[in-house]
Amino acid sequence: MAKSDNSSKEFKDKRQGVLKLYSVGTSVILVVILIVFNILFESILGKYMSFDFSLSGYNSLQQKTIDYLNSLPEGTNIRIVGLFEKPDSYTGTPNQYIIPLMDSYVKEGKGKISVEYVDPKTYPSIMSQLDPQGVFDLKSDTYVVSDGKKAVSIDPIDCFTYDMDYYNRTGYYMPIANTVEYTFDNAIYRLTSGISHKAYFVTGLRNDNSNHIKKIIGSMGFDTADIQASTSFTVPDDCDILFINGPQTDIPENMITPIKDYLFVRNGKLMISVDYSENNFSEVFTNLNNILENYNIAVSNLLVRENNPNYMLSEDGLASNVTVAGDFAAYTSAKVLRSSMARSIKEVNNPSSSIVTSVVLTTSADATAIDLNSQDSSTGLPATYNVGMFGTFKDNPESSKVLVFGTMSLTSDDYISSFGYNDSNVEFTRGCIRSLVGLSSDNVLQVESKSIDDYKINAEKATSTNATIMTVIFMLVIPFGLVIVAVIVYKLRKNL
Amino acid sequence: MIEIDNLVKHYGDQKAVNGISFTVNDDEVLGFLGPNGAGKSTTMNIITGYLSSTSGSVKVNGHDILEEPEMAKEHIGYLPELPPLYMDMTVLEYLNFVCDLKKVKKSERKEQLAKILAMVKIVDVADRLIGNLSKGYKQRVGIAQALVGNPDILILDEPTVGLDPNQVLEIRKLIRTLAKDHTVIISSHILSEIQAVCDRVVIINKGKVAAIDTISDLSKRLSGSSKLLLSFKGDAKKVGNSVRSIPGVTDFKLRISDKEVHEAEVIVDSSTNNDIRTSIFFAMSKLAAPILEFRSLDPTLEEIFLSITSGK
Amino acid sequence: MLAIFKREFLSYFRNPVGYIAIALFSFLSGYIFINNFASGAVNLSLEIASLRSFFVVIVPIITMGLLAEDRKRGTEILYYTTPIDLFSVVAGKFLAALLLYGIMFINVFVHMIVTKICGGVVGVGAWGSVVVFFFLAALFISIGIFASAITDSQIISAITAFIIILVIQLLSTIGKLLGNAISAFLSILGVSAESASSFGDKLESAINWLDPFAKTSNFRYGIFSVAPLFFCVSFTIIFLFLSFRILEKKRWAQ
Repeated sequence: MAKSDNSSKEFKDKRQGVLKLYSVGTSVILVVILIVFNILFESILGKYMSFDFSLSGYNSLQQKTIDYLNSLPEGTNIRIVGLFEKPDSYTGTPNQYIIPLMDSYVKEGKGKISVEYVDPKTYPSIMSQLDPQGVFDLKSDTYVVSDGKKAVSIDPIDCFTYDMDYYNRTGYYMPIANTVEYTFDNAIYRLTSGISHKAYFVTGLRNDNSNHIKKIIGSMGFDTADIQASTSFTVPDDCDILFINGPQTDIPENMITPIKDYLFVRNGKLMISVDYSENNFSEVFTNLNNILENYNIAVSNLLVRENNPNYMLSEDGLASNVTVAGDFAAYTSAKVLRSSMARSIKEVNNPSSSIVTSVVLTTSADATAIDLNSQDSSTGLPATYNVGMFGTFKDNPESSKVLVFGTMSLTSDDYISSFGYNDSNVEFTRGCIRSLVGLSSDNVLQVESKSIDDYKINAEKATSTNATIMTVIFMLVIPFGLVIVAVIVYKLRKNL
Repeated sequence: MIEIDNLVKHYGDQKAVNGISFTVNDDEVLGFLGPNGAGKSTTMNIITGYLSSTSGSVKVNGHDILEEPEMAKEHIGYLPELPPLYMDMTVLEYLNFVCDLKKVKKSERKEQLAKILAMVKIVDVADRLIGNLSKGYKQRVGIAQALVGNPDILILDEPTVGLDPNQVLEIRKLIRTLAKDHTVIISSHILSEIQAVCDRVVIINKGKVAAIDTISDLSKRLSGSSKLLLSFKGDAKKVGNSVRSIPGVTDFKLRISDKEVHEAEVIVDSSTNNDIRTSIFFAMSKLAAPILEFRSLDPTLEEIFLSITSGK
Repeated sequence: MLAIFKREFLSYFRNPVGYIAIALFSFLSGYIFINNFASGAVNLSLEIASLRSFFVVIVPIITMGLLAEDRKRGTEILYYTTPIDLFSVVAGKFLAALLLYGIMFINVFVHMIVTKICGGVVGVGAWGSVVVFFFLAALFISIGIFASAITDSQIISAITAFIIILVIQLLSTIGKLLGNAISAFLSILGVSAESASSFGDKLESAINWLDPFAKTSNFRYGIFSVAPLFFCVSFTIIFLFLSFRILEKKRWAQ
């Protein structure tokens, strides 16, 4: 009896053991095989089994760039240096979009462009080689584009635009557009074109940041620089266009004369963007208007509210579509542009036969304006308000020009980073600057930034009425309809 | 036909089933009798392929359950101790699902289900939610489930446990109907249950087969001695002597003895043909000892095992 | 497999759970879409990317009962005693949950149509995101099923799935923290700073290698690669296979 028990025990171990071994064994083998296969697949075939279907081709150069590279004279020698050791794996880093594109530059550059990766920690001499005078602000972990004499530094982080709204909500940067090609093309263009326009940005007025607008006009062949608003303010001689972007305070009084001098004597060009913010709603811009009234224009302190549902982009009407008026419509393919927290730009009653003043951007005829400073902040009668005006002198095409926008949706970092470089507002801004400075669009290398796509929907359809309808359908009717169905099904079946 | 050969199942160090062998013939109703924990459910789970045995083999119509599980399972309809019912489905939805599982052809399905519904008498609850049915009906749905796919072998694990007496009778009737054209194995821990429906019985205890016998042989063996319970007033000693002297009575054991009321176990050799109860009655009345209670005692399973083993 | 698939899928709609899951998804996707719409630009791939973060809630809801409930109610015995193989049980349940996800996703297709009607772009990036979404859904559902296979309690199954999915969503952060921690720990132990940090980096990149989100991030731009999808499919198969083995274990385990 004891003997048979023993033998059955041995037998037991055998069958259970075999089953267990088989079960665990096959699981382990499967896991190992699949992981090994994945690693091999990724490292060997991964590169070839990747297909760039993106509209703009993330890892490939656009035809415009290729044409441009072909048009560079023989003997051009552009050196692109990544100031770091070339990483083995760059997935999930900005270099993911840069390094493959650099390979394309080498390929399409046909000997005019070389790309190398040199870590300044290992070879400190690279810095002095690229920038003997130490004027180009080179840093490790960035790229340098050099023609042997001049150099342009490019930080990988700056090769993207980010969704600022997403950032504000989550604290994470969600890149919405890849401007790698745009940035590198422009760097090359800056080094090789020989065109040099100079744009100055007045700072010190607690301004909105102007990084993106600077990059945009940089791509148009401009060098940009800041001048501090101060008592000793002068407009430099080489200034081709002066920007006052998003001032939160009026300009100091003693800036009036130098600017007037720049405009009237030197036929200067001035572009102002000022909207209605919590920091400047009480500002009346007396000194600025002192200059502008020579063009029969004034910046008011009225906040524009759109009441026509076909124009409204927000429930309160403070974000809205604005119509591009007159000849300016030629600068954009869109009929309407976006605007928010707009300040009304008025014509003052100072007409002169020598002045031409024209409207650039207007609201619908149902808009109202609010003055938050007056006790009576009730809205006035509906009317058409202007949020952009243009002024110049008659008869002389070279004479000074002034463009005043009552919205920051054309030039602010916030807007541009959210909507990308291909947005119609940005397109319009570009057209305006081009016309102010008298650039023909032919001599500009305009590479599209590779926004994932252009996500804009037809502004005439993106009204608050439609948004409300959709809120009701998508967030009330469908979900609660389903919940009701759930309850009905539950009740019906419960009593079966 | 099911051939079970030297089946062993260990749970850790515990031997739930320890070398069970028996054969179930075609169209036979086999009772599988044993106290709770004897290994009935484990054996049935092994036969149906739910569990694998530690050693030994089960062959269903010639197909080994481990080597050709799908072929073997096709022949078996199984009603586990806890019927595998989805409470959120209606009877018909559920049976259709079981049809899918057992790969019943679409063309045969309607006819087959109609037949099953009629057979287990659940036509009128076919569209009701299983969760809302009474225990008896749930059990019928469980049996219906086992019948899907026309298996020739039905394995029913404690099919009447937890039912009220009416329901028990109904289910037994149903099993008898099914027994006409199926091989049936029924497990139970109640002897009368098995006696009511089975041709043959396998009795197991502590994972081992204690006896395999036809019902009639078993009855004979069990009826070799039977017990009566006698509760009476009067002089216990006198009564004892008097009863002992009755021919056919082998023993008289006083179980409880109060001042007045006594309770005794009377062991009877029932091979004698005359009804011993009449003689006892007259003997008692002679002594003027009033009978308070007088009935036959059903043997407990333990006693059956005892009697079986001692009988050997 | 079809039998199991059919039952599980219909079961979602016999009970409130399917409707509630779809309602939840509709509400969340609607919220994201309308936020986009009101701002005048609808980036569908961003919407889909945001929706992926709800896997952590929705997947446990729809997978928690799939195997755990069968085990608890004893209905699993049907799978063992009928001529159906256990892998097709797992696969059928997996497909049912995946199809439920597909039905939820109709919302996004409706958003796509609305976007198109309103003159927006449903670009190749959006389609890339859709592809990724379903491969990730498959992966996470297989994880949910695995979590449901290891227990007979729906709650434990849901919590397990929740934790695993959460960890995967935070994998890149975890990788970074762990990498830093290890290199700090090693340098405390006296390993040279350089090799300590290189070991930390290696650990970090090994953990990152497992991150399905990072792997598939390029699809959003319309760059389709086979390797990340293959990765998702591989791990889906692994989890389904493990679930299958766990079911089968019942047969032989002591």
